[in-house]
Amino acid sequence: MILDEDPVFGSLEFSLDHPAVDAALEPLLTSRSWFVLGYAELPASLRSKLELTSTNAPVDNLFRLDSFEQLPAILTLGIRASRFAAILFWEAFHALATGGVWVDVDYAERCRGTAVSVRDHVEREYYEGSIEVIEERAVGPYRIRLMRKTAPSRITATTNDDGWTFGILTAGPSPNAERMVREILALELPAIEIVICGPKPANLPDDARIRQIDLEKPEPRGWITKKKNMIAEAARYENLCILHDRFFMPGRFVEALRRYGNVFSVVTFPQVFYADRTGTCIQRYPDYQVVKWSGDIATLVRAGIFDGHYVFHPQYNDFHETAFCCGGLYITKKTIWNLVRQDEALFHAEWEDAVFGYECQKIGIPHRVNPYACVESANPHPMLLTAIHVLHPSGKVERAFHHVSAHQRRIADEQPGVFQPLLTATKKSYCAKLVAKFNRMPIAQRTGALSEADFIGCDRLSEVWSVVHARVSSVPPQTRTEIFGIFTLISDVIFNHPACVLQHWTREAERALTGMAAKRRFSPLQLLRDALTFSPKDLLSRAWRVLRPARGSRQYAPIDDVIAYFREVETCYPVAFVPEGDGAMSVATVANRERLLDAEQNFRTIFFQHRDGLLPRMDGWEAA
Amino acid sequence: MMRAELLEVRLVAHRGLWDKFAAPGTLGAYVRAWRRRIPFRVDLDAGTVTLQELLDAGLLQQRDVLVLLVSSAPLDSFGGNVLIVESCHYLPLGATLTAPVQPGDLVFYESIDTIDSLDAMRASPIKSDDAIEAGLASAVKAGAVLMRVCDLAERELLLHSARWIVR
Repeated sequence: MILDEDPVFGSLEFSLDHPAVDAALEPLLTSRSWFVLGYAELPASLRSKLELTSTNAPVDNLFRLDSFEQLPAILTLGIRASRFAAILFWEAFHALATGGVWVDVDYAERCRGTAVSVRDHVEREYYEGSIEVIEERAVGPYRIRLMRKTAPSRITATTNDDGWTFGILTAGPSPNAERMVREILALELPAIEIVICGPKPANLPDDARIRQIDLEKPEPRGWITKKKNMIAEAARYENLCILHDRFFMPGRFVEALRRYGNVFSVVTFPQVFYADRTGTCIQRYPDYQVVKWSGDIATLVRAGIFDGHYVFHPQYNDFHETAFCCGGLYITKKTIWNLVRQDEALFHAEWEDAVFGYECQKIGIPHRVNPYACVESANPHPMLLTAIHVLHPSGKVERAFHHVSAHQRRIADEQPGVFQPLLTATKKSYCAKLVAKFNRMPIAQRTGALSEADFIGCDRLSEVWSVVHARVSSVPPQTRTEIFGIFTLISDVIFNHPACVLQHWTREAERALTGMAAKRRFSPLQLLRDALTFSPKDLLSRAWRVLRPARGSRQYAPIDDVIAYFREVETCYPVAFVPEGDGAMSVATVANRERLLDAEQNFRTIFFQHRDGLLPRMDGWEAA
Repeated sequence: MMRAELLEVRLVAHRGLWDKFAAPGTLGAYVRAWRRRIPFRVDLDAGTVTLQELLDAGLLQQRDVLVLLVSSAPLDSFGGNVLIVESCHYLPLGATLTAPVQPGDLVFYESIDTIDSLDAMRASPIKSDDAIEAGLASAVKAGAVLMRVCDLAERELLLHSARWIVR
């Protein structure tokens, strides 16, 4: 009757081999029947006297207990040994009937909080007012607690509400949002409302279930935190699905909701982008991530600044207390959202989702994945086209794991016509935007203005940005403002990098331009550190960084890097721009099962084998 | 929030928490620092914002952000939290302490990144903040709290959060 957890997740040791445990436990186990969640067997003397039941569901991110507030007595044994402890506590608490008893046994040293909270799990805010500690005993290394559930959970009162509010964020004319509205209205749910937060898309159906709200005044940073909070406030129904306007609603959306159950915390679906219209080249979109930081994560949250090098994509059945659902798609309860709410001091691309995840987990609300559907993103993540940071269940990390399959490389050469454009813009409109923004940069007054004619003959993004690089390099910058303006161009046109990154690039450019960077490379202190922590890989890396300036200017390293990145992208994504006169793609991609399962990369980033079969489930595939 | 917590982030945003939407020293940059609860310095003599604008934006009426107001003219009294910098040592770049330091004193020192011009960077004899800190070792020994005044505050937080945010 020990919980089934894959050893790859590395649960800690737990045993009840202590002579006084059974004597201490027996008077607490007053009920005859117990539901047990444990990482050790109860002593045999007690097992023989009790009716014990448990679950054979594997312990992972998907772990669910179906019996919502029905179980009269729960016994948890050492469940803090598992990285899924927050999930086990969530599930146990919601399965326990109001008035039911809960005996928890664990090593006392594991009951003093975790990396995200100094409070033990059921002492966190979400559980406050529902759990009463009746008795606590210290027995050897153990803490034994008898608790009673004194009130229903916070979401109990609304579990009968089977209506759904879908909130879609828009920021301009959004054909995607218009399509999403139609797809949502077609879902077979008992009650639906759609709240558009932002400009109302054209051609929406005339339907009373559609409402529109917006910020009081436009906010150029992308105030998505405020918009999401506004949606949650405005929501008529308890079940909440908040989406950015770039998805295709999966055909099995409703089935996935039903399969997962109605008692959930904060959940997202796996999200992918198909590079090709034939559904054979798949890329994971940032959907569920983990901040893997050895220091105190609270310090990161306080500053609202995270280093992307420490943010990883875990397997969907994995879980960490620093995991978070990415901001593109949330499924949760209105009650839960309003208990935490997003930090409105943060804006688009400012790790507002990582902060939200932390704030939720800190008070006992785990962020999880519903893998019974997979959502297609209509757009790719512009900076993750070739590689992502992967976190394996074992804890091993692969920074910049290359996820482009051999098949994709091959058809990029042989069948470029099957690929989707990477951008939603034509070359003409892209260059027009680039030119306008370039000419507004402070340094443009001295470099001379660009015009669209400068890009004639540039059919690739790398060529376009090489023109930009050559132009900004034509005069030496004089001030920080000029350098920052150059990097802002990347942020405006390619990807909305947060200010901390732009400032870092700016400082590195200043250091390169004033000769400070080169001096630091030969730091005696660094040499000593290298000697003490010798590794051939680090040595080669440092040697490369020292030698690199001799090969050319790195004054504008981020532009060099963007050009190099685009050159790599162009080898496996042959279509960058939307052809003139061609509309945006408006139909979902049909995933090619055979081809997708043939690529090893997909099993390191997207698919995984589970007792429920191959997950995540894709539209059109067999359930097995 | 207690005063001690205000000092956890051991840096001060020199011209606010500026970004691509809010230029350094503008009201928008100060609002952003205030929202993120990053201490910030406002040089009222620079003329980019006025005291009244700061008050109107509500930036001085909260006690959860440390604000360092600098003005050559005397400031009228107003209800706000500027009292938290009522007693401090402020060291412009290159300056040294001239007054004795008491335990708990705040010592603000300008980082080399407060230089905005590349020519001035090249000409500056100070090449690293480590050198400035070394000169303040005696103040730290006397119990002073060092606060770095940075123009690239977000970069500092990105790179050195473990070092510069003390809990």
